[in-house]
Amino acid sequence: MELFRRASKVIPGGIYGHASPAAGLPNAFPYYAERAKGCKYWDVDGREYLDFMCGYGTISLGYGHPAVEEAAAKQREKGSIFNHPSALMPELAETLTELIEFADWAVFGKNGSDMTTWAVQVAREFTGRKKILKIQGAYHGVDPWCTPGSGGIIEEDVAHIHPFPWNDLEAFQTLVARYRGEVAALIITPFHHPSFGDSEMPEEDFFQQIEKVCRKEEILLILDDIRAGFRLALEGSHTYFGFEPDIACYCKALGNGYNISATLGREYLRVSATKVFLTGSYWNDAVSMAASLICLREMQSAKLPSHLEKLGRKLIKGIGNEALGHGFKMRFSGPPAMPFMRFADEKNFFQLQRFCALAATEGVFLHPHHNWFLSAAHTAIDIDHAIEAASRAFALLAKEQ
Amino acid sequence: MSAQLKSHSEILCRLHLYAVLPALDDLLKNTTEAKKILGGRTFSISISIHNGAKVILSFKDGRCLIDETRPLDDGIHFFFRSPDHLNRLMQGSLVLPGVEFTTFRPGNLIVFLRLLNLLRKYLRPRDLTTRDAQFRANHVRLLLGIAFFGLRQLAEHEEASRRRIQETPHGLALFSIENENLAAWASWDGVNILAGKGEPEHKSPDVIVTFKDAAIAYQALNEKLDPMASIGLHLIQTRGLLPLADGLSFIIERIPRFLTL
Repeated sequence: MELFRRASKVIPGGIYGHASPAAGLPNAFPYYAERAKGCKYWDVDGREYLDFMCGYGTISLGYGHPAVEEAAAKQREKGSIFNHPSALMPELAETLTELIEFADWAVFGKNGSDMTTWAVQVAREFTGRKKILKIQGAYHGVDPWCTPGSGGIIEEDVAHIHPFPWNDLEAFQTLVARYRGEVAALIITPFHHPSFGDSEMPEEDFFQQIEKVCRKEEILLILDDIRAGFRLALEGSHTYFGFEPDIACYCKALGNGYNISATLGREYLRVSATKVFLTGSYWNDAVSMAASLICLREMQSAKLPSHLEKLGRKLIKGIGNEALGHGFKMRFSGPPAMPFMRFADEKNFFQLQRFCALAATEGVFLHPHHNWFLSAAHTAIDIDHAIEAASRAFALLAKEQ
Repeated sequence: MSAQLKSHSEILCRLHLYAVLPALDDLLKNTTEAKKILGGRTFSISISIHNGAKVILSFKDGRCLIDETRPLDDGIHFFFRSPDHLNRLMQGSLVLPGVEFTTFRPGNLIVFLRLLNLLRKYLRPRDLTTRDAQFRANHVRLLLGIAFFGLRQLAEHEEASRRRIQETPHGLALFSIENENLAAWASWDGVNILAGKGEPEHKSPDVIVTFKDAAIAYQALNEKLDPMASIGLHLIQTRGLLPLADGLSFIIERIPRFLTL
C-alpha cells in the first residue's frame, strides 16, 4: 500500500487502465508484481499466485519462456532499435502471411489500438467511406473512436461509429440499409467478450451472413483478433468460426510478453495500406520481432489452441463441480480456452467478487470482471491445484452466508 | 427515455427546479436555522417558466415537498420570462419575477427568500474547512441530494448523459458515507431513472459506493480528488456492478458543467 500511496502522488490514478485497483478487487488483489515464471507470479510482498490472467492475455507460452527469452536476449545483444528495421521484420511478415492464409501482407505496431485504428483508416482510405459499424460494448482499444472511457471525447469522434448488438443480424442489416454506400467497414471480434458480462459465441451462420452482406455491400470486414488470436486457432480465429476477413489485427499472444502487434490484409488493400501513415518510435523494435518469431514457432509446437481448450475444459468442469458441492451453481461462457465465469443466478457480482477475493487468498488469481486466460505453461496439475483452491474458497463463501 | 434534449440554460433551469430547490427539504430537516425561519408556517410557492417547466413547493409541518399536481392554495406564484430569468435568481442576482399572491401574505415571500439564502450559504460556504462537522455533513448531504436528483435531469435532457445512460447496465446504486447517516440511491431500468435520499427500501442495491467520510464525499462530488487512486487507497470502496456506478458517476460529474455550487 505504501508503494501505491507514493504512486498516487505522482501518477494520476496511482495505476491506470485495466490494471487499476478500481478495475479489480482493491481489498484483495495485489497492486504490483515483482516477478513471474511459467504460470505463476509473485507480488512485491512475496505472495505467490497461480495465474489465470496471463498478463491479460499477453502471455501465451508462460512467463519467461526459455526459447523466447533466449531469442530476445540474442537480439538484444545485437540491438533493438536502429535507424532502420532489422531483417526480422520481413521474416516475421512472411511467417505470419504463411500462417494466416487469407493475408498477403503484414504491418507491425506495439499495441492493439495501434492496429485497430490503423485498420479502420485503411478501410476508409480503400472505400472512400466514413462509417464504421461495430458491436455494442465491444472493446477495440483506447483511441477516441473506440475508447470505453468518456474523458476528452467529443461527439464528432464517434459521429460515424454505429454499434449494433452481438448476434443481431437484423440490426446489422438495418444499419447497412440506412447507411448504404457510406459504410467503410465492420470491425468485430471473433466472439463477444465484454467486461462485466457473459461472453457470447457467434450463433450458427452469424459470421457467414455478415461476410455475405459485407461482400455484397463492399464493406470491409475487419477482424479484431487482438484478444483471442492464436488461442482459438493458430491460423487466426476466423478459421475457428469459418469466415474470412479482409483485415485482421493481432497482439496479446503474439509476443509472449514482448510488445508487438500486427495487422494482416488482403492484396487489394496493399496500396491503401501504403497511404495510411504508420509509424512509432519503437515500432521497428527487433527484440520483440525476434521474440515473436520464436513465440509463433513455439505456439505451433505446443499445439497451443488444443492445449488451452483441454485445460480450460478441465478447469471449468472442476470449478463447476466444486461449486455444486458447496451449494453454488456457476455459469461459464465463451470458449473454454478463455472462459468467463459468474454465479448462475447473480447479475451484480457481489458473490463473484467475494469468491475471487477468497481465491486470491488461496493463491489463485481469478478475475471477477474479465475473461480468464491460460497458457502453454499451465499443466493438468496446475489446474488441479486451482480447483482445490477454488473448493476452499467456495467452502469459505458458503460459511460466510 | 424520450424526453426532449434541452439547451444549456434549460438544463440549468431544470437542475435548479428539480435538484436544488428540493434540497430545501434537507435544509429544513437538518438545520435549526432553517427550522426557525419557517416556524409553523404553511404555504406554497409555485414557480413557472414561460412556455416551460413548473414546480410547486409545499411548505408544511417543517418540510418542503415538491408537488407538481397539487393546486396552489395559500401561496405565491412566481412567473419567470425564461429559464435564464430563473437561473439568474437562483445564482443570487437581483431579479424581479412576476409575482401573484392567492392570499396576500408577504411574510411567506420573505421566509422563502431567507430559506433560499440559507441554502446558498450551505451550498457555497466561504471556507468549508473552518466549519464544524455538522455544517460539513449538511453540506455533503445537500450536495448528494442535488447530485442524485440532478442525475435524472441530465440523463433525460443532455445528449452526452443520455448516450451514456443507454450504455449503462440496469440496476440500483447506493452511494453512502461510512459511519454517517448519509446516503442516496439511484435506479435505472432502461427507461426511467429514479433517485432518492437515504437507503433504498424497496430493493437491495446492485452496486455500493462507500465514501470513508464526509470530507472524501465532498471532494469526490466536487471533483477535487483522484477517484481511482482513492479507490486504491480504500478511501472510496466499490462493490458489485461497477459499470452501473461508473455510468451514474459520469453523469453526476457533468452536473458542475451546468450548476456552479
